[in-house]
Amino acid sequence: MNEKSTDLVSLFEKSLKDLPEEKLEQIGIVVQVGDGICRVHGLSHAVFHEKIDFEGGNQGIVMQLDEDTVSVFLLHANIPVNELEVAKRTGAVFKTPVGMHLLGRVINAMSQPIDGLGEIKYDEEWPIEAYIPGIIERSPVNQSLETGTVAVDALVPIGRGQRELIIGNRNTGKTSLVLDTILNQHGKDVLCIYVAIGQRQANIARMVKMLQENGAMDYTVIINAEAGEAVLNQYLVPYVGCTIGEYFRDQGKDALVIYDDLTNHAIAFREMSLLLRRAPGREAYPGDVFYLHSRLLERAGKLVSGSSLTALPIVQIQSDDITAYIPTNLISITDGQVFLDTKLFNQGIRPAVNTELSVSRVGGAAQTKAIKKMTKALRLELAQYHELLDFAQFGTELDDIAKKRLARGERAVALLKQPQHVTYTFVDQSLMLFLLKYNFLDNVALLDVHPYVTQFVSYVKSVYAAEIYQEIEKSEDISEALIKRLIEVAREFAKLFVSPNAT
Amino acid sequence: MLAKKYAQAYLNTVGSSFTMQDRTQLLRALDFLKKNKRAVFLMKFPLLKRDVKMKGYDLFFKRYDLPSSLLQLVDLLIKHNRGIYLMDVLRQIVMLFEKEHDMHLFTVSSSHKLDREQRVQTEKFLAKRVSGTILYTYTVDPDLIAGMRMQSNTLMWEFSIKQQLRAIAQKVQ
Repeated sequence: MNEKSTDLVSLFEKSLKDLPEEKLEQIGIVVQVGDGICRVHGLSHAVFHEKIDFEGGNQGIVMQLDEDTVSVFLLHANIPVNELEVAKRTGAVFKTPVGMHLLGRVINAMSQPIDGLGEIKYDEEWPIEAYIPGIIERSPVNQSLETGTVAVDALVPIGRGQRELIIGNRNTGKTSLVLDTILNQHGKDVLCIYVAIGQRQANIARMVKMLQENGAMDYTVIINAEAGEAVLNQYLVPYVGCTIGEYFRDQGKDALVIYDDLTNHAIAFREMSLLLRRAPGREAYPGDVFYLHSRLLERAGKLVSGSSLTALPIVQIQSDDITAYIPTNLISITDGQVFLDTKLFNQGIRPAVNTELSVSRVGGAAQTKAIKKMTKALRLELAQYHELLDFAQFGTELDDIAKKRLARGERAVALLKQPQHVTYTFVDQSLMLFLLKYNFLDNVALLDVHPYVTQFVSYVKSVYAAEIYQEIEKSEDISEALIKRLIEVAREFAKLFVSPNAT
Repeated sequence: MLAKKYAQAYLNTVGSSFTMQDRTQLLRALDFLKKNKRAVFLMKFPLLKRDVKMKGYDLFFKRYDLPSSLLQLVDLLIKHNRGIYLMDVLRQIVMLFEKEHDMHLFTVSSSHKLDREQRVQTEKFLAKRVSGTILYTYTVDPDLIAGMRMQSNTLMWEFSIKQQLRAIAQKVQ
């Protein structure tokens, strides 16, 4: 108690020592308050996105400039703002503190720690609306960002600097997929930023615990604007995350930023726009909702300097309808999408990646040669399988070739199934896909596909570590000679394999 | 918005014939209307005939020595069934006039009554920093504890114990 009062006295003395400012402050008077927004008369020189300090201790951001008033959205829902209260200009746009000490921490949109681990030492403060690198400063995406998920890395590869949309209904494994991607970045020198927008606190706590248990928090920052926070925080938080990602990128690192999810972000922006009395458009979103996301996602990319910022935005849809307003906007902005299908999810195919609707527009160039070689015909085979599967449902008598194709397709689908939070390196994946490509799975029972491929990978890893495994790892390719050797090893393993499902 | 348009149109029409003296008188009249809401209500009551209302306005305008051009504006508003905007229009006239003449109304609040020398110092301080005409209103605000605060619609300067305590409270929060 004594210490506290001493602290207060010293704080008081210190503030009294401050000399009065010589300048006059530019102010405005609050004329209307409500719904987290207030109209301020005055502030005639305020600029868009300028931070405003209220005398009562609240803060806000200028979101609209009208003829006589400015509309300011409040940052804190719990500090009251009264009518006729004085609002002061700060002369600066909203900035977020950035620094390497953010790694391992959970913060809110105001960059205040919410993990109970004490204060964070920041290096600098950066404005959240930043300059977007031009075409001269960018270089093509040519380096793979491994997600550790076979279905994604094999069929919709993501490159460092790419913007890949994760789209799907609720409870289809969108967040799990991105969390696996974070887990897979362990030891890969990719710093991750997870931006949670309008999510439940319990989910975030569970996620943080999981990342901590797997040692992924060492290279991850979590920024959270929960559903109960002021709408402005939910609007700002992706830009804060992106700014932190840009800071990491400018330190010469590769950064990965995940926005979970931009549907909630668009909803927050819609709420703000309607409160600002802007004209509602399609689905009541304002006219500039496209720009809201395009200016955020355009900040991702690979730079000439070699560092990159990869963006994985998530969007939630309803009834698997990807033609809704926000999803179509995001599909057109991003460099591809991973579509997670409810039907597949309910069939037990997890991750429920719909291979026909998922696409990666630039990731192919970044895919490692080893995987590329092994997946050349996979997409086509899967498409033929799904087509044949529909046909087979009519009870049609199938010929041998069709039956063979169906069996192969079933094995391909089984191979692409993967347990949650289990990730595979590109070497593991290329070895698994090798078995499929060279027909080593044709005689394996469907239930045995997963144990077969995983055991084969560990067999190669332990018995042929130097000769095969490390060679692929080093060269990122599987040469013809190595394929011949792998065929021998696969035959050898086929004799050794004992099915765990055998009675 | 509409009130502002009427006010702007009025000032454009009367030009320089609306003087500082008129502004002061108009402010006094507005102050009276602010305190006597019943009078305002009656003046815009729709069942009262236009000529009755105009008689009332005439008396009111004479009482406060307001320019006759303003009475014409009132007549126009009543004629167009826009009497409800009257208070807003008059307020906007004052505001636009002040803006056009680069006038700043500063309320100087101090914890204790300022003596003549202190007032001169204060006025010098503001004159150095603010362009245009400055009008001063001096008040004593014991809530400041010690110090003073000068505030207009768009500018403010404060150095007081109250301000320091507020800053500390925000830091502690």
